[in-house]
Amino acid sequence: MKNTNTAKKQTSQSASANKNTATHIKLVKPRPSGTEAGTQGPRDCFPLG
Amino acid sequence: MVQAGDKMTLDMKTTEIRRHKDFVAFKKADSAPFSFHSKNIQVAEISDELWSLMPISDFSSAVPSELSMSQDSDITALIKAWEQSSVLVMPENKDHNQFNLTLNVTQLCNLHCHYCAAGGDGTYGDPVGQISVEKTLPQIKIFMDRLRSKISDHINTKKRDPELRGQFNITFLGGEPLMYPQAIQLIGKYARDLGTQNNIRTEFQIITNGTLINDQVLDLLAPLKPTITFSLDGPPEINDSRRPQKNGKSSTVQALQGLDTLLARKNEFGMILMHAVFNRDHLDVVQTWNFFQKLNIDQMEFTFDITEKDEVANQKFVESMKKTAELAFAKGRETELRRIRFFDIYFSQLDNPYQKENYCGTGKSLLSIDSRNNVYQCPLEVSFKDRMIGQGAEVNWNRLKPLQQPLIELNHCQTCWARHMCGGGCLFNHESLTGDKHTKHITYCYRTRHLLSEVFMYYKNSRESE
Repeated sequence: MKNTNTAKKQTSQSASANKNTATHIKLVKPRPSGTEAGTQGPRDCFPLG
Repeated sequence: MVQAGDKMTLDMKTTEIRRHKDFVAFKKADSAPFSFHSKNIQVAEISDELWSLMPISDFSSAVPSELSMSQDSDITALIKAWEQSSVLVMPENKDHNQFNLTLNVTQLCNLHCHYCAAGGDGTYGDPVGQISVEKTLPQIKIFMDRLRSKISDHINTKKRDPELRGQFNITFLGGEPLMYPQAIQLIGKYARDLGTQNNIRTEFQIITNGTLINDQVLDLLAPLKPTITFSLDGPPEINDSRRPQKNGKSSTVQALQGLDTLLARKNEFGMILMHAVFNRDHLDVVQTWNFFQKLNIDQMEFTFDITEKDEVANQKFVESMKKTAELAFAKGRETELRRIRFFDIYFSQLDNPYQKENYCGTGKSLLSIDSRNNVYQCPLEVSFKDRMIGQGAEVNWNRLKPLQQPLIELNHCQTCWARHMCGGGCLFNHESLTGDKHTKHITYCYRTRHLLSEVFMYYKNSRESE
């Protein structure tokens, strides 16, 4: 019984924390384009030409 | 590290910044605060209440401020928990299946740009009319064989996808590379054919002042479908004073005629870009953007001169970039903003998050060949003969060993919140300003951080939040 109460309390705290997070931090949703992870590729260098 | 004792004194504070370790937040007047998680590469809207509790920071500093242990409330606990949260973010691609080569087709130029980084006159102190195609082809083969061998090793020893394809990019530079378009055609065709035989994709870019473009030149280049980047600083009244011909006369009319000729055959080429340079003599990005945005080009890039360390000029450039972004976003939201390459690159990174560790491939996946077929680790080092790491087919790979660590480590960026977007910055730029390639100048970091904060704001304004 005690364990069940503890679990309920933790669930309640977790839900509260999630609600708190959603109130204060709203994540911007990326739009993945399927591009592979960046590489040490060419960078637009100072123009020489 | 940043050069000792340096701190920007001219921050106009148009944007406020606050920070708790790797959780950084920004606020502009009359707008809601927003934030960036520098390990998770995530942007978020945050509440005013949360913003009010975050420790004050500044754009000159890489030292992380943090909430004290005694600050304890639901919100500060949330800030701490959020900062410690971890999501799966791709590391930078370490498969090394990409190689980039820059090639000085010629070390002569028909213009005399005031800020020329190629020895002041396009020659790098060593005027060479034409690169030797005969000497260049074996170099291409060696670098492509090396790339193919690396890919095979990765597939065999690290159980990578056996279909992992290589990417070999060549950027043709000068001098003015279109003084010798036949070399581009011959070298490009050789690289493309060799790539096809080896399951390696080849892409080409040409950086040009555009004045020598005509249909005969385009006939030579079109089979490579290269990206063409015009070096142009803005409308004639700006460009002619900064990029005149050798005789001092206007170069803009010829450059724009070249652009028209190219645009008439746009479908035969890759992207068409404009690249403008700014320094204390020209800081009006808005004016240049206004001119470029009417042209039928794909993208534009605005670069601050790598030798300019004047704080006032740096500040004005940042403010003008911000105004330009505001105008572009108002004109066409994300689409128009991303015609500015700086924003496009970072929007792409935020949409496909990864932790950048290297600003460019120097020492790892980039080499440069000058018009005498000498090899360097960076195209900007060609003026310095003691920086040569090879000649022809002989390359002293040991000279690259000091650069095998990530640049963000070599440049001591570990505590900067911008490190995984910036990648540590350009070594040549750092050396030009501080005398040491791994010591950054404060103006560089200040500018980068400010402009990244603009990226985050427009990204937030272009996407849904949840």
